[in-house]
Amino acid sequence: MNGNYGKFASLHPLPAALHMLFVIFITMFSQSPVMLAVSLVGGAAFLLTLDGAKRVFSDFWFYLSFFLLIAITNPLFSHDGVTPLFFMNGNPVTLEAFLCGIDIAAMILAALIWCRCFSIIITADKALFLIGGTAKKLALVLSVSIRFIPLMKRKWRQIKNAQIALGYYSEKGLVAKLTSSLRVFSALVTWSLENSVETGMTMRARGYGAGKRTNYALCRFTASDGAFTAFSLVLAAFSVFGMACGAFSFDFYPRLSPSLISSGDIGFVFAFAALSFAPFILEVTEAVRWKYLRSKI
Amino acid sequence: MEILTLKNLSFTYPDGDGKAIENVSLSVREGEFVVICGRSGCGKTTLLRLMKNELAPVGKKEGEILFRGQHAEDIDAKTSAGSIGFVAQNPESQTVTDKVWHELAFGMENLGYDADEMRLRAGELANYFGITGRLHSDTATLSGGQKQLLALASAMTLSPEILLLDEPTSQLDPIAASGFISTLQRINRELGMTVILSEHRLEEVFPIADRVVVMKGGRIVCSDTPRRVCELLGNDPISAGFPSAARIFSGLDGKGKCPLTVREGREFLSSFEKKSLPIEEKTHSPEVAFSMKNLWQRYERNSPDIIKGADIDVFKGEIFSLLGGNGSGKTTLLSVIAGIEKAYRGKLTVLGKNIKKYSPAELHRGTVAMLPQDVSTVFIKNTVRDDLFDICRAVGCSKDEAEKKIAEICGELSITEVLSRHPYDLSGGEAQRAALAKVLLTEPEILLLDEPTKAVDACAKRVLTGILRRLAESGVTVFAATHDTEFAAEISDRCAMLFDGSVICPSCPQVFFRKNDFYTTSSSRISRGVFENTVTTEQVVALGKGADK
Amino acid sequence: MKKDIIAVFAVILLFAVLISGTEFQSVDEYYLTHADDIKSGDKTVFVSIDCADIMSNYEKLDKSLAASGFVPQDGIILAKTEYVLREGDTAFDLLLRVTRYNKIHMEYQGADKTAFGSVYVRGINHIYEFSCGTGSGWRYKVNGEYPDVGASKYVLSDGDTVEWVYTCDTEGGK
Repeated sequence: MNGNYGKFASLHPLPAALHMLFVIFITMFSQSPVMLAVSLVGGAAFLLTLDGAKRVFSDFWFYLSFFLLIAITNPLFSHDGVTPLFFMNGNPVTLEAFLCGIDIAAMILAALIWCRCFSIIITADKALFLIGGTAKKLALVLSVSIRFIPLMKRKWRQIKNAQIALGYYSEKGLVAKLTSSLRVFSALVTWSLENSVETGMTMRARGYGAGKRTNYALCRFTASDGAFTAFSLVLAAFSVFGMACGAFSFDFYPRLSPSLISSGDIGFVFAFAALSFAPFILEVTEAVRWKYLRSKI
Repeated sequence: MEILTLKNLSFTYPDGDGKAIENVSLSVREGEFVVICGRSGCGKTTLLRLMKNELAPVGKKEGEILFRGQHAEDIDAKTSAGSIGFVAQNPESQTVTDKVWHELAFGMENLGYDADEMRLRAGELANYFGITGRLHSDTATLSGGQKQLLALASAMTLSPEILLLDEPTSQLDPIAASGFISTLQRINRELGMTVILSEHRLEEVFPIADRVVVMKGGRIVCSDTPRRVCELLGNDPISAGFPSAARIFSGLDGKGKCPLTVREGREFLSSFEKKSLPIEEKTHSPEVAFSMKNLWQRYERNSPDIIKGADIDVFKGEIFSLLGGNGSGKTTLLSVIAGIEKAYRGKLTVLGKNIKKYSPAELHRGTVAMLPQDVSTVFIKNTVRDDLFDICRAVGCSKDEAEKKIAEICGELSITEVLSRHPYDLSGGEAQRAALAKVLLTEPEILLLDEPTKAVDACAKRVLTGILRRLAESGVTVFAATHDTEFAAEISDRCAMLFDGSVICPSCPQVFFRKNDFYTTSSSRISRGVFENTVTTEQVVALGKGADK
Repeated sequence: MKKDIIAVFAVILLFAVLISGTEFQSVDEYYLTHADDIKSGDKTVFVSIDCADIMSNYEKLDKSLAASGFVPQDGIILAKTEYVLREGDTAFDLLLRVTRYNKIHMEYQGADKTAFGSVYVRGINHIYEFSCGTGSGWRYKVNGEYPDVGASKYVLSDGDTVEWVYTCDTEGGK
């Protein structure tokens, strides 16, 4: 399916999407630095396998400055905490607020990274396929419209160039430019109408509306998809249970929680770690297996 | 066994003056490859659309259409969609969805195929058409030729019994077109698929057709094997689109079996005395219309160079053709001359003045004008007349002046009848002439043409040739980018090839095409070894007439 | 694109720092505040800080705050004490001085940032608004009455008793 990607990308989009949504959801509702670190590292490792080190590191400065900005912003607005570092306009700037900022930054960054993974794995056609399961008409309309966008862009450029060559864009000034663009736009609208009439004709010629429609199954739900769905459902449910028990929460104000993680919550950490690292492990084992197979050939 | 039968079919459009189809009777056998040809507006499209119920135009129909002995109107929608496949002209508008796989599956989805069946069919066809690697591509990234092949493949997914194709190659370049035609031939030969194809590019379809139906004014004037049609209509104006071999044959009043392919043409000419046509180098005016010195262009800072050091001088009143394959940068070069794109290195002088020193208004009013590849982009109004008046106003003509000018140019380009029509309703040739009229109203000294023969039939091509010659005589410089070797050979004073970003070997067509083995005209291939320096059918015929057998 | 986001963000941040003022003080500097010694003839007021209301609503109290030990058992953060009243002191000026002198944590929103044009006290001794139910927060009484104006607009006079009380239901308190 995604030729360049490995095992996780070749999963059925439903378990893949569910899994990543679970992780994003849990990440967004946890404060525990341990859990966030798990999610962040798991997501980053996964993104590395998808995007490659070069791409990720080119974005590194973006992620870092984003991280720092959020971390710095929090103590400016939140003055609670028992360890004041200094006072700003009579309000304390505290260590706790700073640490809390880092924690929030980590949470946002982790969610961001997982969303990026989501957008790589769940491509537009997979998303359409997922929608198509419930809203067939909507999926078709989206598919038709998505095709139309690049077409219109190209046509816009073509018409504009043709009009430039006829000397229409030559007047200076905003108003002249605007009227010129308006002319191009009206031509574009006429063209799209004309084009869609023809497209409608083709759709009829190919039997649209002739009977009950079915949907092409882009992906098949295999046993391993089922297994992975069960895996992520169980772990996510367990993690959510952990959330209810407070395993994913951590207090910063007024004083930091005494320990990073209580011994009773270790189980939840492992569960969430398994959930967060599953995509990375799937991708890597696939790559390793390939290397191994190749070395045997 | 007959698969499709038309009995005394007539058809009148609600607003039409006369019958668009008149008393047509035709029966097509199973597995037959039928080509329908005729000038644009002869009723080919109407006839084809009538054969498929869902596409039948609204109007008054008389006579009968029988599909496997059953009236077309009685066939239920599902069967009709499934058993009659249709491929239309425009690759853009007949693509429905965004992904290649979805496009393949679309028809099957409509007819309610189940998932496994769909996968099997889609897989099969993707393999047969060699598009497995592109299955997950966006349809927008495909070239026109690939889109048409996809449209054909999608029609084939429903296992039709008959394929109807309405000028499927008219928007394609010659290489993509011949690829399409050979795929069609393969389907016909390997699967026994019945094919009815309307075409104006006949060079390649005549040799593979079982039957050619020639239409004129809504009637069938001739329906026979390609060879017989060539023999019967050899001197009819319609023969302009026939294969070169057949045209040479009838031009020389050949006797016996009419040749259709280059090989057969060579056999026919082999009995002629060896002769050579003197090379006519047309003397050009000493004045340079535009000249490029080491021109380089790229679109983005990091994108590859499109034009790499192009060097050329084009003289006033010259017709110059720039040949080159798809993506060789012809359109880009034209855009640079037209002042739409800018070269980042090198010098471009237009009428003795650096192009950078022109204001846009100066450049595009009376100096350079361009007729784009897709002529519909020229029109922005609802009638041709409005469009022409619009450009006159933009140029700064008074109303009386404009009317005079428009009347004059319309007479010259014979588009007076279509003035009140919507630009989108015109045939390929008419639309092109109307667009040309608009472009010419800016009174350019240099006229740039991008693929002027693309969507135009053989007769319209002839008309265009005449118009361009007259323009050149009146001093306008014509610079055309084209794939069409026959057209370039016929019209040009000089030709050159754009290859790897630079202009290669500008020379007169006789020299240019004589040297090429592959990138040359059929006439040159046919006459090679017997006649020297003949690159058009006219030249071959002229030389052959004087030659003894 | 990404650089733009960062840039916009940085500018907003810089702006925020600028408008919120740029007076920085070290911790020691901040707490190095003198409450004047009381001499005879000085005008004085009495100040107390009290959060006893939490005790009756303990189940609503924020868990981490409960665990932190910042809520005293008897609810008294500062017992009623007499302080010198300087000329023009408002209820808030006095609170600020007292908390700094006693090294009690206090966070407030400047008068320029609130809708009613007076300083708003968000938290004292890490006990914040909403720390004990949705209606909870700090209010002040002068001589047993809740004044109609904000603390930084109420100018005190000799012998006043200012009580800062944490109520778990501000609506009901009115």
